[in-house]
Amino acid sequence: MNRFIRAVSQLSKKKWVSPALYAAAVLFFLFFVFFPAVFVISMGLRVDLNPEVVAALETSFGVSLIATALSLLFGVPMAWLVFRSTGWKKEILNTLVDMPLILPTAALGFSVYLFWGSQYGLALIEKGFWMIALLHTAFVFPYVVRTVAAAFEELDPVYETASRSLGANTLTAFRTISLPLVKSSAIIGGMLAFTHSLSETGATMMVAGLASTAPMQVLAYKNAGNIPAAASISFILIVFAVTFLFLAKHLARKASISIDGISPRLEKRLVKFSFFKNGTVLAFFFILIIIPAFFLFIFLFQLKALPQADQMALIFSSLETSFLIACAVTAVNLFFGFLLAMFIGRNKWGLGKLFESANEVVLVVPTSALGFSLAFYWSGLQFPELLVIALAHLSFTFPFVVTPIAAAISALDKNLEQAASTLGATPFKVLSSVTLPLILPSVLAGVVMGFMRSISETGATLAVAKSVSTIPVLIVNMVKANQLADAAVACAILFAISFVLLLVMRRGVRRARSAA
Amino acid sequence: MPEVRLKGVSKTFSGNIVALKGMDLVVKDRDYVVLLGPSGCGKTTLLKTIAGIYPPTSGSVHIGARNVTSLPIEEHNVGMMFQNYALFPHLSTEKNVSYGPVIRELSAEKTKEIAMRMLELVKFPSDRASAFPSELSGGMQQRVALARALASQSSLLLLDEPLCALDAKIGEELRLELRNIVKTLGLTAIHVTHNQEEAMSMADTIVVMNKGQIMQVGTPEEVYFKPANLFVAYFVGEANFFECKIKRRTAKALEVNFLGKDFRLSKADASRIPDGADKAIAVFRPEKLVLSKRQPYHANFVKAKIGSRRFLGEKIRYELSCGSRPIIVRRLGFGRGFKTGDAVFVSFDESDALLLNCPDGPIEKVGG
Repeated sequence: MNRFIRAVSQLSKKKWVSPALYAAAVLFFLFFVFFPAVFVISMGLRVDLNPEVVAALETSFGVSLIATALSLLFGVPMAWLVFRSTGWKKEILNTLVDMPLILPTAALGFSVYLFWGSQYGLALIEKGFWMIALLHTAFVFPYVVRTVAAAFEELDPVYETASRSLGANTLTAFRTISLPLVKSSAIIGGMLAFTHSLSETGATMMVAGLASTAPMQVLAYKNAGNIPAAASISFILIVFAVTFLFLAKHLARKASISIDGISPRLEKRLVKFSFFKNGTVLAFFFILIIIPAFFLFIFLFQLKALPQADQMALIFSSLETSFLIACAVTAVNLFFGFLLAMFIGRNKWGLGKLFESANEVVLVVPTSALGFSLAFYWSGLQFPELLVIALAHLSFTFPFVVTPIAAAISALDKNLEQAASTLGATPFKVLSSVTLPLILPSVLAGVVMGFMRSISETGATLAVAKSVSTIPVLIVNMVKANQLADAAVACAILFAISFVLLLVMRRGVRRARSAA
Repeated sequence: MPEVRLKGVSKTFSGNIVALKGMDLVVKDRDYVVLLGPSGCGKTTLLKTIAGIYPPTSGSVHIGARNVTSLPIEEHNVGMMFQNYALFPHLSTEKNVSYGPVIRELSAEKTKEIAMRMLELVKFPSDRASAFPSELSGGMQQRVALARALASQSSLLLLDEPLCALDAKIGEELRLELRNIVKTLGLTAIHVTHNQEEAMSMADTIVVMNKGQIMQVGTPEEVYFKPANLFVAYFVGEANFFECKIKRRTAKALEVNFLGKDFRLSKADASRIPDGADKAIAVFRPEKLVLSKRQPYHANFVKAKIGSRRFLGEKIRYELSCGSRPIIVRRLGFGRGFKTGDAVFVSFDESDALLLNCPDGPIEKVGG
């Protein structure tokens, strides 16, 4: 082993090694991640807008707009609340905000249906547009809160202090200083929320009833063999998602919030109502997000019997498939993703920004459109079904691995690496003894995010799978077949695994941090 | 109007870190006060306590006739300039400066007028008023930060290390300008720094602090020539310290022994030595010691050898070997001066000797 490491270390000194590795990463990204994801655009189809397509698009955009608007409206104050709280309160709020993120969306969808729609819960809302909107609000809300809370944490508190020393009350200081300074993060959080909502398929299918969203329609047309219609919706979804991405990035740079026309005296009176405001935000959070998301477990405890043995066997074989795919995909993505992250973070050959954008494009492409596109891309090579599913997962999880690592690398102080080099370390030694330990928390975060995304995804899987079923696909099918008890058990198992994974990641990150 | 009074102010941070210990201080109206001390001495904490950023753990803060101890920051009504300026990155220069007037809901014309007047006062080029902070040089940012603090219209200006982020040269230029603005506007200023030269050149009154306590309050001259204790003597300027044995103390004179020699001092200031002490520290500023080749006519000298010399421009700094610690002497640089290795006589005027109470333990520890 030692000899192997020494050989690698010596090899890394050769001039051609790092360009070759970067080239491999770039080629991998282009041909296995990027082109498959957007291949449908190159098919040059005429866009077929029949009334059914228009209705599906209307539903999708309507739902995404409502979910994003609600998430921003309540998410920004919620992020402030998380940021401002201290001690155990902060721990609890932080964990609660993360909870819906680790609940696979299929489980979340099932839970939301049980709470709002079934006789086990409130039975208040029929399956359809509004239930989709509630579901999407529940799963995009954490994206907004996380992004904005992180921005608040990074904000130097001196700006707010300066504002207050100039006479601003807490609310005015928040509105004129802190809020504008986290504005770009709020826009990015909103964009993530919007594109995720646009992309979600599996959970939506459970609560859609007679309504249909654009990603669902992609699958429906594909299964019915209406390829032109499926392609045109995929095309529209991808174009819109990418447009939103660049629009949001532009707005995040440009838009500003003016300090004119403020009324500190009015705001001073409003400060007194902060209790009321916090109460409203927390009520929203619990009633619309937390309780519906975890109602599943209340239902679970009312169950009398476990699923039949054949159903259990189905659950476990699907779990096996899911884990097999997730492990394989994550391993491959970690290798190439790390290299591409170095490529982006270091802005190699001046192409860092370009590939960062391309990576973000894959991140926002709705997965069912991605799956549809990818199926065409690989259709020439009669691959086995499992491999095609794996290739689809490879593509849409790749950006989740790359993004945090690239951010950590570009934030890394170059002097540290240069110091190691001047002390005689080979490039491999610099990487393994300086760079990697310092960015390990981000690498772990990327790996776990990619892994969990693979475990819980449905849209792309359904778009390429015929007979193989992953665990979330199985859950969707069980709910559609009204096997609620079986679905609940499957959800619980999936959640338990995700939860353990998250704990492991948190511990790992914490340990890596304290070691660094 | 804004006389600032602190009564028994203490500040303890979480984890029982004591930053201020029962501090009493009166800052007179229109005085330019500099809080001087090593890092961690509590000077910034004191400033932030006056600004209302840190509420004191005990004691009270009064600005003018108002007891502001428990008021929120925004009601302290001070103009504060932050370390590294804290200019709002999302607002233009003009918006930064007009922030205070806007918050106080002054009319648009009045706001504009104040902002422009303050920018002019700090010599900020008016054609750059729409620039964002990130587009300005350090010196320009400093001016904007000052203009913003002044635009708050408060007659109490708090300055937290206002010059330390600048190049030494620019910082020195801005000292005089800053003081002039404060004096022209008739403001009371409290300025925090760890740079003793800056403190000397700007202050009416220097407050020397160490470990959360006030060591001395006085004019720059008093602090330099009449340090209240060893810490002040050590921290402000350079000095020679000689441990001495007190052999006899009478109403007329003090007989001491240091550097292996007896001295009879009749004009030295011995007021800081408690009665009955048998030890003391004799302090001499380097420029108060005289070097000569020939033996002086009086008895206040020791023999020494020039260990090293350093040319400082207008002065030459000598380090002399004599006893365990080198003696530092600074003399004007004209003439030939002395060479390394020269045998010389170091002499002093009795009235330039200052005798301080001897601490327990080695005197090097005092400076830390």
